Amino acid sequence: MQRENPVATTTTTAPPRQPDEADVAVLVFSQTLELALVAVYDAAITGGRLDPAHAALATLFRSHHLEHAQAIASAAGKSSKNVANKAIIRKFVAPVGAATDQNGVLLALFQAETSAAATYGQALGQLKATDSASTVASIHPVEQRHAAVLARAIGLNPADYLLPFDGDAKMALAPSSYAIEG
Amino acid sequence: MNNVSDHVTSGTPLDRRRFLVVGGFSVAATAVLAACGGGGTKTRVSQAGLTTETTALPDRVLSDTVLLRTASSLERSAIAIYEKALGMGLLAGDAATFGKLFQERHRAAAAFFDAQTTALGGSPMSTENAAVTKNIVTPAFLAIDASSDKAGDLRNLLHSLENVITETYQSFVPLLSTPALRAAVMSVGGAGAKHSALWASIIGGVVAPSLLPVVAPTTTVKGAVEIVTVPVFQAPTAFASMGLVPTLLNGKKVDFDLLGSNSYAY
Repeated sequence: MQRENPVATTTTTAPPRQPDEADVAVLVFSQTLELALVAVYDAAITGGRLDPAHAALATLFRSHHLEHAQAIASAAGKSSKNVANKAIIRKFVAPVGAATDQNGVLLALFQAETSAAATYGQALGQLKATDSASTVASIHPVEQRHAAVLARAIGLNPADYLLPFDGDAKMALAPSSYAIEG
Repeated sequence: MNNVSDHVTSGTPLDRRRFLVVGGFSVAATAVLAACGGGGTKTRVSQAGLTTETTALPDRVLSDTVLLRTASSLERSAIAIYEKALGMGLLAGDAATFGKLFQERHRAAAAFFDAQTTALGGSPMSTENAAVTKNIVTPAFLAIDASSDKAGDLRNLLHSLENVITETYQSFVPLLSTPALRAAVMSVGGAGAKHSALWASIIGGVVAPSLLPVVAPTTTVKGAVEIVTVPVFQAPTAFASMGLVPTLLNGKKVDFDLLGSNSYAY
């Protein structure tokens, strides 16, 4: 007797492991995003608004983004630009500079991290190569953790930043809007 | 295990002379057995001990729908764990707020994965994950029942649960066949990472190991009772890990496994 199979069987072709040209473009943009975040944290750290504990926190998160940039550069190979995305720097450094107190700086960093996480969510929906997707999937939850830590430090209402999974997709940074300069 | 590895691992490498002796015996033994076999007659060789009947392993095909059904079952386990934790009435303040909110998010995630499964032509998994029940829920709540710090242990369990969820979804990424499904699974995994960070914040975990305060080295006193600790961090590393998830329950360190192929909902 044949058992009912609750799982639909599909004939699938194994996804590629190595990135193609389109994947590399996503990775190249992601690396410029990470280097932009390093610059945003630099502005926060040197801006004089953070107390020592939060400056240490910012320094730690900055180091994470630098490591992310290095990992993505490794995945993208020779195509890596190794430059910070200037348009993204402008978007997030301006509110950091305009902040009049520590919470203002942390809020700008929170928005940058939320955007980065959302951007990686979109990237996962584009990357065909499993190796590249795995690299991004190891970074995406860390950006989410950064956002949660910053939100908690500011005292935001959890219901406002714990949106149902894809609720922050609109915060994603589209490569078409943040073209790599230089 | 074979002879060569036995000898190598025991520190007495198999030299060429001994190899030839062993090899020569094997050839001779094979010749004797062949001779005993006879020509066309098929006599059965007597056999000591019980014969075992074997059953073929069930067909287990790993597919996108299996992973999505597993995700549904994992979310239903999370809903049940939060239900039980909230029902104990020991979560207060931020812990109670997080507990209710996160349970709601897991309900939404279960419905999300159900819809994804249906869209692929599969039947959504409507029950909790059996492996999670056996390996996490049952032993954890037994430990918590026996604990002198039930509220603390509940928070530890919920923090570790979110890590198991996030890291399991991360492990699905290279297994799923399409980018859209990877994005769907990690959209929930990312939310789990936030939940984990927030649980860590109220457990008292610092953000990362590098931000721990520097403490003077301690001297171990002979006969002293060792206090078991499991460090908890909000953003422990630059890259999300996938491995055993440690937690502290009833004063003991317990490691939870991520869901692997033996725990999937086929």
